[in-house]
Amino acid sequence: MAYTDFIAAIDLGTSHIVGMVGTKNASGALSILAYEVEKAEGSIRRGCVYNGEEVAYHIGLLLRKLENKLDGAKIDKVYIGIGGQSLRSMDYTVNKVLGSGGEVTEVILQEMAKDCRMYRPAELDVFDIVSPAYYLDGRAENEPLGVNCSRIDAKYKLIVGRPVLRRSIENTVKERIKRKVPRVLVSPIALANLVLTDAERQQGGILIDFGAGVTSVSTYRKGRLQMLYVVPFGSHLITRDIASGLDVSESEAERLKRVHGMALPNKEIEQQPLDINRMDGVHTIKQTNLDEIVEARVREIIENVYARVQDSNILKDGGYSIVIAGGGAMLKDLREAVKSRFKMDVRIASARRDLIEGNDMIANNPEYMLAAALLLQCEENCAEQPEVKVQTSTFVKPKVEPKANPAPTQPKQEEKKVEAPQPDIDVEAEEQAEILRRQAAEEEQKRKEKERIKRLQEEERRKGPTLWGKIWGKIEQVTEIKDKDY
Amino acid sequence: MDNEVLSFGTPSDSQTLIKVIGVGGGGGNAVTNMYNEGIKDVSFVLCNTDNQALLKSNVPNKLLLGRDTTGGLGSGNVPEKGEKAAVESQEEIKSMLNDGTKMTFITAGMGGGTGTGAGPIVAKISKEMGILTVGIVTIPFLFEGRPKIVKAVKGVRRMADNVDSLLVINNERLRTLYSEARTTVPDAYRKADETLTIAARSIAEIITTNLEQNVDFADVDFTMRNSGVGLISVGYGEGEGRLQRAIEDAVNSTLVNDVENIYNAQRVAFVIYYSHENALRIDEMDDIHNFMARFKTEYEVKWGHGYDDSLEDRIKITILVTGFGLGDVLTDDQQTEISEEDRLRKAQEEQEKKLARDAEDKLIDTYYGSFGIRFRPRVEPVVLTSRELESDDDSLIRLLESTPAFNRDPKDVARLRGTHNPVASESKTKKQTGTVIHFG
Repeated sequence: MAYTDFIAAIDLGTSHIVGMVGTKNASGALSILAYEVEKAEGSIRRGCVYNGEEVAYHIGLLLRKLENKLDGAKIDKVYIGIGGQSLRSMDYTVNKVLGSGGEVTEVILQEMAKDCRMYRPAELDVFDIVSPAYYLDGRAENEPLGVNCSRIDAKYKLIVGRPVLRRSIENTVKERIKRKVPRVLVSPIALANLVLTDAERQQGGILIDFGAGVTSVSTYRKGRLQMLYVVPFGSHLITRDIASGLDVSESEAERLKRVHGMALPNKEIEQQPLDINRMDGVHTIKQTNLDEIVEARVREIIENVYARVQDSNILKDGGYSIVIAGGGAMLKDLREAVKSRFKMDVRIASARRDLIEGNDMIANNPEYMLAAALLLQCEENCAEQPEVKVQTSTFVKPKVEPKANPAPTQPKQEEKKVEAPQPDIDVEAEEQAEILRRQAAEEEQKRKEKERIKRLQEEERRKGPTLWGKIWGKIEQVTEIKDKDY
Repeated sequence: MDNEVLSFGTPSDSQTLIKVIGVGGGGGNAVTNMYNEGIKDVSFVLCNTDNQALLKSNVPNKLLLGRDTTGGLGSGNVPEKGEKAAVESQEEIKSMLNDGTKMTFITAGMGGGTGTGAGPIVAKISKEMGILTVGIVTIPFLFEGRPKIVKAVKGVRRMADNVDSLLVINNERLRTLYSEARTTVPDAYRKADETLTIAARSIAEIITTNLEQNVDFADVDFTMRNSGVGLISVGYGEGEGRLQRAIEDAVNSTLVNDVENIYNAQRVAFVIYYSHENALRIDEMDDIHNFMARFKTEYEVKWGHGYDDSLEDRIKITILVTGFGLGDVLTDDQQTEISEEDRLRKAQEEQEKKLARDAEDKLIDTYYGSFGIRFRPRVEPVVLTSRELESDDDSLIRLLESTPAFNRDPKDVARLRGTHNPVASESKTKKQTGTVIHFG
């Protein structure tokens, strides 16, 4: 029996791409049905799609693997998380003068929300709008409805970034592998929804996600996002520094980082000998040689995160605590290093119990945590429906960050109206363009299919068990690279 | 040398609250202009290191700075020389100010020697005497060249440190304001002098003219005392919706980089002038109300209105806003010029420190090496500014990625920050915060 009702999300990480499929029960808790990982080395840089073709190939493979696990059910749509370089929050204030004797009504709040959605910052894309804080005549007010005031300000947080973040995902997923993307999700916000406790959200929580390509930081207080920034340095740079500093291969550097790397050097063991594998054999260095390299980069990453938090001017208020997440957080003593820099309590992220059904270990694995967080944000059924059916989604929104739209009852036409004026081409031309586009798409599809088959064969050959197969693979690889060069 | 000019007498028209002091050539021109046009209840003083320039002016009260330092021959475009001259003459400056003056305007053009160097010293003396001290300075056109801009921006900083409020007139911004006409270079300079004149005169006017609803010295004092960078702007309007037009005129002709910034001011005062024939009407009060509502200040907006019969049917508004940072009035290029120098110098220092440390380490190593003790040179991490982070230029990030953090040469980073300065390439994405304002 194939599944017909599930949600699907993909986390485009710099080191690996994770796909996950699951369902949500009536209370909004998630159960994970299947997950798959693809190594993405090089094709995603600093959290942004770098080589679209390669990423599309990996995602295609990932989705097929997932579909196999789902007894052949087809994944029609997939939510994608973005969290790459240039993503950040931005303040945006809408205000309205109501005059003396004015009263805040639902209509006024909706109009302000609409104004906010209309806003297009120069050269930036808006990925999400976090519900606003209201100020009536300059005083903060949580429940503005019905209150008398002469002037109302709504302070929104927009999540913005380079337009290429969205465009590249649409290019790869929509154009190249023809799957629908109901919405791109802001990864750090999704992650915060999964791991921050209510107390942390209220009293002040700083979430730092140490990814391979980027490190994101977001802060919360009084239940609201205060700021979000993506620092374009990740833990992969530690590996690269080790490789160049100790003259070893990247895989050896990665091993050294995982096994012997420490965010804070320990005086007692710094003279201990350490064996490293170089091309010409095993060499012995001292622990301190490695410490020096790792510590410098870790410090730089933490300092950059600290600078963002300090810039946002929240440190004057006490009560904050820190949660660290991501693969980078597995580095030994990173917790202590963060703690000593921020002078705050630091804990390692774990998924909230009430959000994951059956205490799933997968969601608590740093490698998969973000994918689970993204999955939790999905709303639409992502399964391919055999016939056109009324949507059968039974998902209830989890108790998380209030939605971007402060008036969830707002009819959808409203949104369409907002976007309507943009495409201003005449109908005929558009129709023709549509036909051409479809033809091109078909051709593209065929070409892709051929390529994919060829690739799969190659992959097979490369992975072949015999030595001969391996050599063959290498030769193929080399010639392929050369072909590309010309 | 003419001794009569050198000797400084107490001003003949004493007992004025406001003193406008022109320091150096540019400031001197502006003050001479004002004197020639005549503003009542204000006294004028010229300070310069160049005796010839002093002689040329009609202004009666003159003070030659640094008789021994410059011999009345000017400062030769060297701010240090101008500064030295002012320090030498500080007793004379003090006695010149010690006549019941409550407020001084120190006008100077930044980028030369005397205005840049002596201006901040005159300001400092005035402020130390408890006088409300307002600096009004011009900064050069970009075409005047890098060395001059660097000097100017440094001067502006020093001025800002020594005054209660600083009005910066950015000549480059003037150029963009009047770009449509085929302005000649002398015209452009005249326009710069004129703006300086208008700025000083408008504030003096607010205090000295008797208005219907008055804004007095205390209000101006409140608005300007220790208030950082400020702006003054004048606008005129005529015909239908004349007040609204005047407001727009004033707002759009401010010399602030981003017009919307004006509403971020911390303290605000404005005055509306009209003639007896066509006085302010009740229906025009709405425009005033709306205008005031747009300011985000926590303080009370001070405002007043009064007659000025020379206006006839027109209406005039003078807006005084304060509490900005220098970044609001300098163009990105101008800011870059100064920060780049700072950065290179810092990198140089760091490098020297590192070398010294390395040498020490080596020395220690020769004695302690066998015990296996190592003194690690601490490499300072590079922390990106939010601008660098938001920039579309990734070259700095690429450099930080490709050079290991533990042995990176800080000079490389400084060089890249200097040339590929994201501050400069950032202007497009600079408008980070926007505001929609409705009048319901």
